[in-house]
Amino acid sequence: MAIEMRCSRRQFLQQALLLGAATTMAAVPMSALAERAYCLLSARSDAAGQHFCAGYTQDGKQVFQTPVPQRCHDIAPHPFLPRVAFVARRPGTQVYWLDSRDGRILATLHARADRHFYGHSLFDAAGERLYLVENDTKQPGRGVVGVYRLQRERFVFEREFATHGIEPHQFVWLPDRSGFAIANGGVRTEANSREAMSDVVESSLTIVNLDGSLRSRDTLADVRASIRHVAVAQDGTLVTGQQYIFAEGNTLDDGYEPAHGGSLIAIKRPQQSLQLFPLAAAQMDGVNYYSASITVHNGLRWLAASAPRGNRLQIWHLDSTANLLDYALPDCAGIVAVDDGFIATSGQQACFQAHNANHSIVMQRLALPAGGWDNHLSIAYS
Amino acid sequence: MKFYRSLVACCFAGLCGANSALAASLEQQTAEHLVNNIALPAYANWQHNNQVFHTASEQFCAGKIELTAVRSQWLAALHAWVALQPVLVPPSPADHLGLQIQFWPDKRNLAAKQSEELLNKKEALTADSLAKGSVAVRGLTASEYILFDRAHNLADPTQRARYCSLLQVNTAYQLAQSQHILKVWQQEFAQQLLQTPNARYADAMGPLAELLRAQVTAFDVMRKKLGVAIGQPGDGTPQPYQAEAWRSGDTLGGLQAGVMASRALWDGGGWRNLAHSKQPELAQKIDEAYTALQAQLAKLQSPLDSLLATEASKQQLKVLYGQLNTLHLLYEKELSKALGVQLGFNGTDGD
Repeated sequence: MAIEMRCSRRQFLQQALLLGAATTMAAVPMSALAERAYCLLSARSDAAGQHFCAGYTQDGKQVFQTPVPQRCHDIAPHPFLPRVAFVARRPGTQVYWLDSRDGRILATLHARADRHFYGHSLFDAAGERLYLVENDTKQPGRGVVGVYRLQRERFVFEREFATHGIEPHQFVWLPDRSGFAIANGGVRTEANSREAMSDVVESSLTIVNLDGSLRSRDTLADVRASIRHVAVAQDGTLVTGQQYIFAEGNTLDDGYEPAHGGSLIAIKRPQQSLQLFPLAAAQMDGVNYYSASITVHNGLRWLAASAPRGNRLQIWHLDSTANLLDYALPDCAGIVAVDDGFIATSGQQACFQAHNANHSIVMQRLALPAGGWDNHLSIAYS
Repeated sequence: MKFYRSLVACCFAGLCGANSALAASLEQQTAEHLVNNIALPAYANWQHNNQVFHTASEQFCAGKIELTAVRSQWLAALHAWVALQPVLVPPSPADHLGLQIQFWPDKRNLAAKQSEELLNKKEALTADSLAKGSVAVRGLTASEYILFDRAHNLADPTQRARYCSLLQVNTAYQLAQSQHILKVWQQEFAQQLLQTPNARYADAMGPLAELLRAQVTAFDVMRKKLGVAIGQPGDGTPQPYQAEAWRSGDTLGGLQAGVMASRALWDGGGWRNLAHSKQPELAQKIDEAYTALQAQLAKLQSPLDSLLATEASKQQLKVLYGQLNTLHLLYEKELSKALGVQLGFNGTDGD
């Protein structure tokens, strides 16, 4: 069954124009998603420390699991070709360009001198350019977006522009494709290091036009909150997920009290500034001030976030902000929107699908292998 | 050995088929032993000790028993809580106990400050007001402040009445928490851990991985609790007021209870059995690490503050810390790898 076993793309251009890159998958109308087979894409690692680029069908069949030297993070499927880019996480220096039908590595893009990757990338809708967030290690932390043109299975550097922030992490296309929303984590690191140079966090959410000019910049009052992940809804609403940076091993041991009871998630509705997304105290307790993947489901207007340190998957209504789900999922990792809800993976345990059942949520364990899934999950439709 | 490691890694990543029947059987047997013979009795023991402690606090507040009697029940409740740590797997996010039961580390003496602030409001305290308030006034740390703080004279009826209002609500809260968790474990969660596959776990390795993570976390917390008190790792400057149970002087007693509980999970049909089937030499190393640690603990019978008063005993505490650290690392690095369990991934090393 080629449709189940391969991440091939047929009649995909129209869908791709809707889908764009990984983080905008939730923008697909529900009617377009119904009844389609898809392939889940994620970076994985095993207990022995081997890293993989992986593709699985939704019913748990392995399409490919390709060993790679560097641990990857986010995934950028090509909008209409059976190709996918897996990006090494910080301070990685490689992007693996795979045939998504069998996992063959077709090319490896190496970081330029004085640059390393931050783990996230996006394709443009035409499938001609790959955008990668990078660290300018001559000025550690200064974020840039490197633009690479795809030419005959190779990526050729074209230009770069500033993210107007420190340590860019996830970024998304704006719905009209006029630019990007970029989560600048704000933590300065040197080349070859994941260690923060200090506990000062200079985080921001910037809107950057395609020509590299700055359109807007938002910050949070909480000085320890690092804006690291961002999702976009079809109406342009942006949601960010924060991770707290603490001096002593990312714990609350130093007695720091977050402003406003914590700003784990923030929201920037159209024409508004970035504001805290209201979370009940009970939702903050136990998540250890750390969110990972954050995803919007446009059809349902739901927002999902994974909290791998708190071992929870949480879902809210984007408009009412009501909490709809608080589910115990150890090392909850990547999340992607699918037909009637979300699929969530785990670094340690089984993967689950959260189904919408008349506006309540039913959790279903999936046949995907348990554990070893990195913090981001993407999808490619057949 | 190399082949076996590859096999373990392969199975974890879902790269090969089902485990052998023998391996599955041993994993299932281990899970059954850990859940039925260790975890469920530990939860029942914790609930029982909380019941006894709550009753003792009511009797003390009614003037029916002496302070020493209720203090000894506080110690028993602490030890039962410490013994629970290696099997502390929350059935759901709402069951995440942690700070609800013990506020540690209390770097800024919040248990004292916030207890006094709460009592100065002179409002009637209820379980609800406690649940809505700061975690610093809940559980064992606040109760220890009430019962053991040297500034308190609980023989004085006025002081006793003041502190008893918080003590009794607190012990009732702690009891209710333990009753709820015990019920969930007995009625649902133990079955979920043992009867795989189910809605939560794909196979027997899922529950075992959760239990091993709880065990390793318990070691890590024990190591930190001792370490911060004696200044390890670091420049050796002790921070005795950041130790667990410093007011009661039972810091090392709590550690002893934690080590004994971990050993109970190791011995018999526990982790040792599974480890030995995969790497006999690792099982031997962990045996030896336990023996050395427990022998060292047996040497250190005085309260922590008196041990910190002499250079010789400070060195002995440093040895103890090193042994605890060794055991923690054996579990975290070697045992987890031998069992094919990835302890931390995104939660500890994500992005």
